[in-house]
Amino acid sequence: MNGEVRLRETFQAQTARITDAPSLAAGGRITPGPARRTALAIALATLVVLGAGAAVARVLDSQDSHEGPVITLLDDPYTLASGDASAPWELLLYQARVTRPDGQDSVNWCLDFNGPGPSDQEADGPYDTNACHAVPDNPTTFGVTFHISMSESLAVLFGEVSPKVEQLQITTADGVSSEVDLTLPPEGMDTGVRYYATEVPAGTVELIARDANGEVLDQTSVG
Amino acid sequence: VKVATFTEDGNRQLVLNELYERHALQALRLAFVLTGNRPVAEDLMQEAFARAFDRLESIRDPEAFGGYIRATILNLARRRHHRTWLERRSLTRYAQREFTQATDAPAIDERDRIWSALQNLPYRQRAALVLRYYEDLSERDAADVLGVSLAALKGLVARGAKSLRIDLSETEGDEP
Repeated sequence: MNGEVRLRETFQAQTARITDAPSLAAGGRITPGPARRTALAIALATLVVLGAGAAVARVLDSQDSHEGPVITLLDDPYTLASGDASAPWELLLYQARVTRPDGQDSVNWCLDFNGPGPSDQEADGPYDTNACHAVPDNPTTFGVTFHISMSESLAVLFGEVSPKVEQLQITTADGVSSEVDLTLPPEGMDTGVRYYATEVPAGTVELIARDANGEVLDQTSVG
Repeated sequence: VKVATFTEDGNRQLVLNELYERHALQALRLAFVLTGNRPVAEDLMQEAFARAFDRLESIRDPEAFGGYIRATILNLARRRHHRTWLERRSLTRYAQREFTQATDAPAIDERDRIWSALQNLPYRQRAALVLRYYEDLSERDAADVLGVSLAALKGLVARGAKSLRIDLSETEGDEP
């Protein structure tokens, strides 16, 4: 018996135990069950609300805390970038209403990076950053900037730059320079900034932002 | 099911009931094979329907409703998987060790071990195996649903099968 058959039989045997679905409540209303409430509680703990241009934090370490803003997605996330070099990862952009513990709320743009740790099975934990922030009218050259280690030899670099930036050059720790593609979100999700995401060798990365004329606007280093 | 006609006639409830009856069991089973947990699967399934019902008028092709539900459940399951990764990590090591040590056990036990090991796969590997061998999607369709390239889909299936220690070599999924 081959593996495909064994796998199909496993799926069939497990799903055969499910013979009915919960009935649809009157009026077509569906209310969140326990697991959804749990997910919401975790979302409360894992949200990091940042001011424009602030740095980013990993958030799963704070799961024990249930104090924090409530994040409500206003639209389905858009996948800005994804990769699968050492392990699958993706960068999501979405708009969300953020309600702080003091009751104040605002509509912000959120960048989520989802990906495993240094290896699929022996990870330090998932990288599940959740950075929601207001995009300023006149963003500085470099907005939020992330450098996340995926393995001993590979990292993912991503972040935002102002619309004035036409060229983004990176120089990795081994001295190799290259241009990074700048991405604009689809119509309706234009936040006024440009995004980039690329896999880089582990180590410090120098970023140089240039305008349309090739003039250096700013430079920074991460990693 | 003609969504536009029903909704224009004001019989929204009829549409919701019919769509739910038609797709709920399949959606629940998909959520279950992705999460391995019945209560969580019910929650994901209901969340998916809630989202779909909110967007009912924008789903112009009634035949696309099932695909929308499938994609939403995959998305919800992925997000949940990342949030619970730390909690699952120790279970992963235990389940994989047990699975590896008992490969000669009878078929019924083997299915249980495969099921257990499936729940501890990285999410996208599990989703790729589910789409290929539970949903019976083609490699191209599975890649589209997951939003990855065909090569990436094949890689996910191959790595998932390798992690499960089962031989899927007769499928194209083992190609690099």
